[in-house]
Order: sequence, then C-alpha cells, then structure tokens
Amino acid sequence: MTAKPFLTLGIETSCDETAAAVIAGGTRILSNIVTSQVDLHQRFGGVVPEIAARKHIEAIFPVIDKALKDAGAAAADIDLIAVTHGPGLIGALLVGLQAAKALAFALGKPLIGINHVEGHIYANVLAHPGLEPPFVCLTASGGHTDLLYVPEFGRYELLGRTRDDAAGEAFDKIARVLGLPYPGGPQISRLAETGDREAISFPRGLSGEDTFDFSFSGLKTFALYYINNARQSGEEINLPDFAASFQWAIVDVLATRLIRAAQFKKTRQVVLSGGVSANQSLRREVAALAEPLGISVYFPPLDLCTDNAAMIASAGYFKHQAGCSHSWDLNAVPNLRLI
Amino acid sequence: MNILGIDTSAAMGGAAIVSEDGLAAEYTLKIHNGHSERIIPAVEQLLADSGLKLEDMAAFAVVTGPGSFTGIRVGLATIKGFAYSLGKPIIPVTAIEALAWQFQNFPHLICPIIDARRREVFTQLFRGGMPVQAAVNCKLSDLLRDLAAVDEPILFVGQGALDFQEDLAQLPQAVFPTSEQIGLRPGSVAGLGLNRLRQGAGQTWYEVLPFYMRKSSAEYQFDAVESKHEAGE
Repeated sequence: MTAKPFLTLGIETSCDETAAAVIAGGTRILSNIVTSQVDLHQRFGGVVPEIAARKHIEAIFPVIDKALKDAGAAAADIDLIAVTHGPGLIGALLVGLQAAKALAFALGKPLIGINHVEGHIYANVLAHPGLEPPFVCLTASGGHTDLLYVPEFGRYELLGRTRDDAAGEAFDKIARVLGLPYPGGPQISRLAETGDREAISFPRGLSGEDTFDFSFSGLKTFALYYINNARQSGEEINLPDFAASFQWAIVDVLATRLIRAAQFKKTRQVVLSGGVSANQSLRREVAALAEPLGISVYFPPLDLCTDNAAMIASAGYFKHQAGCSHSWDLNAVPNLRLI
Repeated sequence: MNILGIDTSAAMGGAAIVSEDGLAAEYTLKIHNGHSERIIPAVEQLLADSGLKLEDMAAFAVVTGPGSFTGIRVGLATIKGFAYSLGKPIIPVTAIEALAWQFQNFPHLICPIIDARRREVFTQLFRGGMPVQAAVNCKLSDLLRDLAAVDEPILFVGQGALDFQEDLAQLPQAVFPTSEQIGLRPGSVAGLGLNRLRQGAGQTWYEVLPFYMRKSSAEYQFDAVESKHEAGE
C-alpha cells in the first residue's frame, strides 16, 4: 500500500480571479479551478475593487468545494492550506485569506501565506518539475514587472522593476483608449498578428540608462498622442500596424533586459511568469535571443500564466517543507514585497 | 447546545459563545485596521477559556450586514469556513435585527442606526423585537423628519446612534443607552442565532449571502451615466 500523498489546498483571490487548487507533493496538480470575473468588469474598462471583492465572497467556497471534489479529496484529507496574502487588492485578498484561515483553523491544519509574485515563479516549477535555481525570472502582468535573480528557492534578488506602469497595465490602458475590450493584452496581440512591428517607432523607456528597471509611461503617453493626433486630423489608424509596433516596443525591452540580466548573473536559465508571459511574441523573442547564447528558456503553459491557485499551492508546499508557516493573525498586505 | 456568533461588520466587533443557560464567553474589540487579524485568535481564545471545541458548536451565527463591506465579507468568509469544514449550519442575522434583539425589552420604539457614510444611515423601527417597517437606507435628515411626529420614546441603538447622537438628540423623544452599551454585542448575535436555531432556522455554507443594502459606488456611477444616455442627455 502506498503512503497517502501530501495534499496542499491553494487559494488565490488577489485580483479578479477566484481560484482554488489541490496539488499532491509540490508539483502534481489534482485540480485547478479558476473562475474569472472578466465579464463583470468589462463594462467598467478595468477591475473595480469593490465589485471584485463582492464576486469573490460569492464564488470562493463553491470554487474550493469544486477543487476538493475534482481532486477526489475531502476537506479533512488536506495537509496544508496555502493562500495569497499580497500583493493585490485589499478587499479581494481578504476574502481568500479569511476563508483559508477559517478552514485551516477548523480543520486543524497548518496555514501558509504566499506572495503572489512568488507564486507566479512556481507556475514554472509545476510545469517543469526538474527546474532548479539559479535562474533569472521576469514576472510581467497587469500589476507587476519584476526582474529577479533566484539563487535558490525562497531567496530572491531584485535586479529591476517598473518605475511606473506594469507591462500588462500598459497593454490594458492603450487597448481601452482604442475601444478594445478588457483585458487588452490578448486583444492587442491578436491585432498585432497581421501588423508590421516596424511601422511606428515607439520609444523604449530607460533605453539610455544602465539599469534593469523598466518604464512604460513614456510609451503610453506617446501612444496616446499618436491616437489623439490621428483622430484630430481625421486619419484612420492602421490598427494591426499600431498594435504590432506597440507590442514590439514592450516585448523588445522585456526580452532584451531579461537576457542581459542572465548574462550579468552568468546563468544559463531564464524563466518567464505572469499573465504577459502568455504573449507569444514575447516567448518567441526571448527564445530567439537566448538560443545563440546557450540559455534555456522556461515559461508556463497558458493556463498557469494567468492567476491560478495551483502555483500558490506549489509555493506553499516548498515553503512548508522549508519549515515556514503562519499564525491566525496573518493579514492581507496590498503592497507586499518579495524582497 | 452551543452556538458561536461573530460580528465583524463595524469597528466594534468580536465573537461570543452562547449556551442553553446564557452567555458562556464573549470577546469584544474596537479595531482600527480591520477584523481579519483578530477574529480567529479571538475565537481560539474563547474556545480555550470556555473549555469548548469548535466541533461542540451546533451552529454558527454571523452578521451579514449592513455595515463595512469589507468587514461583512471577513465575517462571512470566517463563518463559511467553519461551517464548510465541520458540516454545521449557519444562522445569518443582520446588524439591525440583532440590535433590536439586544434591546427587545425596551417598551417603546427601538431604532437601530448603522452609519452608511455621506450622512446616510441604514435603519429600521422595531417594537418588542418585532419590526414595524422594512429596513431602509436613507438620509439622516429624512429620518429625523419622519420621526418628529412620533409621540412616544424612541431608543436609538448601535454604533451609528453614538456617532450621530448630537443630531438624534434634537428629537425630544430620543433615548440612548450608555456609550458602553449602545453598540451590538457579539453575545446578542449568538443569542439571536440560538433562538432562531431552536425555531428550526439554519442555512448551508453556499446559501448565505452578504446583506450590503447598497450597490458599489462604481455601479451607482455607471448606472447614472447609463440612465442619462437612456434619457437622451
């Protein structure tokens, strides 16, 4: 008879996805339930925090229940509960955190709070169980653009991060101005497929500086001027060309700095995580730059790029193995830092 | 039969256990940064000190609103987590009806007041614990105007009654408990819960919903713009 595997229940409600997952050990996904609220927020052109929190409290226990049932596990079979406690929207975070604490307390199980950005890194551990540090990781999403060096699991060195907008935020904002539905990233990528990425020369933020930081506000302003000028002069914007050039301005900077960071840290592995890592153009560009240098590129499958709870469970499992756990007064921290 | 009740819908909140013979333990705290950090440690303390286990509870009572939107959700998530884990029923109560329960022996009108921000209140009139009208969200000035004609004492209760005491005291019929007694006690939440449990009440973890009494401000703004469009403005 085989020993019962160690089961971790992961819970994630930091933004507009209500998610729960059960994993066995650190990497085997038994269930991974994500309910998106995208439709609810679309009419507002972005995530409305109070609406997100309201939807989370309705959805959280049905989602947890489904995650347990799909995994064939009863609540009492769970060995550990891992939950995102920041960064994110405070009202949204609190729903998942409080549900996790109440379950762990009532079931007599350990609780562990996970940094959402750290969770995204573990999406790669789930997808590539052999992946071991050291590596350089780019986490790019609607809320984050962080370039990290990971010398070993659980230790992080910040190489650079955005000084203003997150990469995904830049996509969303420009898509909104163009009247494309939220979230904007996938919409712009689709339009970009048939466009010429050299058609418009968008600025690259901080290109003259010796830094691993990012800046997308100049790009955003330039794009807004471009759209307004075209509208005022009655010119029609070639949307595919605009989208391809705009996307290229972001992808170019992300890919170049990621590879330069790998060379700087003398590592042969780079990892992409976060919602923007679903961008095919970014994946292609990073692969193209990495290949001649003998650098391996890792990115998660599409369903693990965006917010999910399996990655939170995986991060929780490894941190628990390392002896970490939290008490019942764990709080949600909207601006939680990894380092 | 024991019941655990919690209230995290206002700054003053906490947890209590009520048994057949009355209050067993109670924890009340006025918080400044939210109840999430304190509520489960409070429950843990109550259980340890009363020698009871969470499994000993026949049901869990919770304030579903109205009050702080975030506080309401913290309370619901906590109680749903308990109920889901242990397969026990939930008794949802509103802050308004729990206040009316707490002061049910007052022989005249009871008027719970919950601050709804922007000088508005959530309120309802009761007599002997029974409602005499539906719960409403109204301007404080409208409430004062409507109650001016009442020809008997009105007991104003709840944290909102303390916050707006100066305004409410303009009514000659107004009566107030002391400031230490005016707010909702977690013991009243558990007590009302036990009373309802005896009458056969109880919902499952997936049935219980928040009682906000108000849409989010983004929805109000959006609906206002939409109705302007519809009106052709």
